[in-house]
Amino acid sequence: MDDEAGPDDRRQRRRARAVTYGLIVVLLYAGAAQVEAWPLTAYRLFSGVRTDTGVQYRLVAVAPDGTRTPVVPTDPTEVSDQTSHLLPALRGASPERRRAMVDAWLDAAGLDPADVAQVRLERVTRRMDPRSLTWTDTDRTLVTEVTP
Amino acid sequence: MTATEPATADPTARRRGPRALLAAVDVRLTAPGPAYRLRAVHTLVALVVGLRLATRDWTAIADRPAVLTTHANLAGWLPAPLPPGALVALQLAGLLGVVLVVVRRLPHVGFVLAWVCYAALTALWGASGKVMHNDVLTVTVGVVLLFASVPPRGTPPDARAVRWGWPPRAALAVLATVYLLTGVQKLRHSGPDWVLSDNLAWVLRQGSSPFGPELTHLVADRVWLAQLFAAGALLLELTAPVWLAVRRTRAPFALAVLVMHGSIWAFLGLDYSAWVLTAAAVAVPMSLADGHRWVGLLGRLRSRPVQT
Repeated sequence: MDDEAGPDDRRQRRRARAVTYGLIVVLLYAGAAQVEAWPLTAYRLFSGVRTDTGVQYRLVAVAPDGTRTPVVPTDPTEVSDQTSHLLPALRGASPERRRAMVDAWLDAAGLDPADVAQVRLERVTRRMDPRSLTWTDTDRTLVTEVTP
Repeated sequence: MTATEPATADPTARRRGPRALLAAVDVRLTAPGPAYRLRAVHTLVALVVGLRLATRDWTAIADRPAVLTTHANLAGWLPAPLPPGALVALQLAGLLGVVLVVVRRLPHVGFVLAWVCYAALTALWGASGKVMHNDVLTVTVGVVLLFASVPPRGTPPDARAVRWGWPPRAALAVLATVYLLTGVQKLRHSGPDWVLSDNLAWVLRQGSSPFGPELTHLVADRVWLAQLFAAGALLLELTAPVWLAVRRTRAPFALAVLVMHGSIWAFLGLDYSAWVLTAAAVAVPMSLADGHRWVGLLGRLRSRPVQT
């Protein structure tokens, strides 16, 4: 068909193939290689099997007298809420970056770093009751501690 | 430019196998198409972008500290946090782009402007450590239309050309690929257990329905019903390329997508409206038979006598 087409049609056919097949190959590669560099994504939407058990990372501020306060934003938005997904990254961060991240979370929670002796990152295993739909903690492990 | 469909006497039609199938797909992709169809899809996708731009307070991005902003995304090179004024300027520039598309003044420039602003804002919105999928389908389908040559003003709506035929078909192909991927990943990471276990019952219980826990219990406490929902969703995703390859099943696909994402919102409170609108913006116009246009349909509806 290209042999009979004018130069514009030939050019447009080349463009159509490059854009369509190129984009599909990129999408399939991102899916196969589990790439997550938005808007490139592997499209893992609810792809894991859920059970009654879940794992959650929590940040807890510990005062000099031992009082524990959960570090949660006082005025949560979708944007600020999602930063909790960065909690596991605390463990591998440099000491300076850890302190900066913890200070940012304390600030969002309205907590004064001067009133906090330690901030603990905990990995909590919990189980959901299918009737009440409430979670119960079943295990808690200290991942790392940061002095703000 | 020609008014005829691709040659049906193409030699690939006599061959069999995957190569013949790919050749047939290529012939369909690159066949001439009418100007009005590209205009419809181009305008509708731009309107989805406009709706998303207009209905969110993007200044929430400015409240996120730089140290809690990730950079592994399209807008990762931008400084963080951007001031609220810059975010509002991006929002307004994007909306201006949508207006240019709708009024058909520099529609290509308008679409590129709208897409760039929308993609940047949604990338920044999701730069908190978790991949946000709410807008990714619209952004990805929009990539195709960045390369489309939009019919200039004065082009007869029924005029046909290769340049107007392939972009809506490419958008369909991308839509099909994305939905297929969402299904394949479920099978890859969970296998048949995604449907056959009590997986979806726990997904529902761990969500937050805007209608309260009674709705959650209604389905989650009946494992067979939750499995039926799971099977339906997975089947729809895996068969998306088939639905979208056939003209008559494209509109039903958009309807099925509405039901699936609508139920996700009802049970889990998650907003995937951009997926529904994008699927409709592409699949519904492409479901119309040759010669049937939105404008014609609207005109006929308006000209009907009012019955009293």
